[in-house]
Amino acid sequence: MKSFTTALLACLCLLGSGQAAAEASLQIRDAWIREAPPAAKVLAAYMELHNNGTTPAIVRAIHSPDFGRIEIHRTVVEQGVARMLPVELLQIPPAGKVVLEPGGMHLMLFTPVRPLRQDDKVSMTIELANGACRQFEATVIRRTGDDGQQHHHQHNH
Amino acid sequence: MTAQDHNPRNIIATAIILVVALAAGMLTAWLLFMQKPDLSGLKATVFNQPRSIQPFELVDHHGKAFTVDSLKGHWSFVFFGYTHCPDVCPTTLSVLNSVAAKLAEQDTQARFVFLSVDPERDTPEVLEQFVSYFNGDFIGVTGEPAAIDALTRQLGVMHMRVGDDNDSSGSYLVDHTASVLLFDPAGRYHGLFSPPLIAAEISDEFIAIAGAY
Repeated sequence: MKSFTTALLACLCLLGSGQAAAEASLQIRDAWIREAPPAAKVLAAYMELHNNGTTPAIVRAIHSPDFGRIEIHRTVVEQGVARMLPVELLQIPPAGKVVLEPGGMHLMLFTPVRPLRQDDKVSMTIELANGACRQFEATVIRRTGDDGQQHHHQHNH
Repeated sequence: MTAQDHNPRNIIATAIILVVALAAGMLTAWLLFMQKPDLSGLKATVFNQPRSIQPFELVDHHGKAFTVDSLKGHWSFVFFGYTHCPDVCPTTLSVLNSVAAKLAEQDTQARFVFLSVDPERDTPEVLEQFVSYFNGDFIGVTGEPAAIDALTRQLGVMHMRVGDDNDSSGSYLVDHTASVLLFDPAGRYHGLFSPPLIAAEISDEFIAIAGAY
């Protein structure tokens, strides 16, 4: 059933890709999944989404054969309380980018189908509203040091 | 040497000047060393009067009792979260792991506690795997929901379950206070670090706070 769904999805993406090739040139950079403790049932993924096209790229869904379900969330801290809010519309402006990073926007990866350890590769597919699909690979990274610092350094580049 | 140097009056005057200079020097040194550092410029919140907390009974990730006495005799950093939290909690524990490393470099001792606000899913066994993944010395704490509520209420820590309770995957979320609370060696709530949490800032400020204690 799962392989059937995946195959169907691939077909849908192929159908859409022809019309959308010109406008949606979405590029995914530095995609990584935070390695989690052995029993973790929910993981997070981070990446940069670059839109080199001339029209906004609207993300409809994200899939991966390694996870039961993927949602886009944003962590917000309001009056000292951390909440995760679902992102209803993820839109990357033309010639712009959206950054998913710790403590901000992230992909929430539910029910991993296999244990994921440092350096493992996970295939993911972004499905855009115009029907185009972009496949990419995320690397599992063990990060138990200071995210704040690394986060800061990334911004200095 | 001239004859004048041997004049007893000059010798006495020189001695007096030396003694006064020495005393002034010692006074300056004493003031510099003894004066408590000014904590007003810190990002961290330090209470004017540390807050004593009511007794509570929880359990650590080894299944041993964790009570108000567990907070005594050392400084404790306490973070409230849950293991199904994929972003904020691992990020915060990573920061605290760096704080622990920085404090160890400076020979400063403190304990780090991850206190679950999701006891339904966070059993001691689950917590053991979670906290030891970040640092083998971190302590995971959970307990009866009522006991956790009683503690969080008196500390002003917020936690609220959100999302679909009927979701078969049990993937509800929990909103929770994002700050790291600091307890002094008397087991009193001494202050807190609020986000953005940066390891170097927290360790430097903690050393200042502990120095002023």
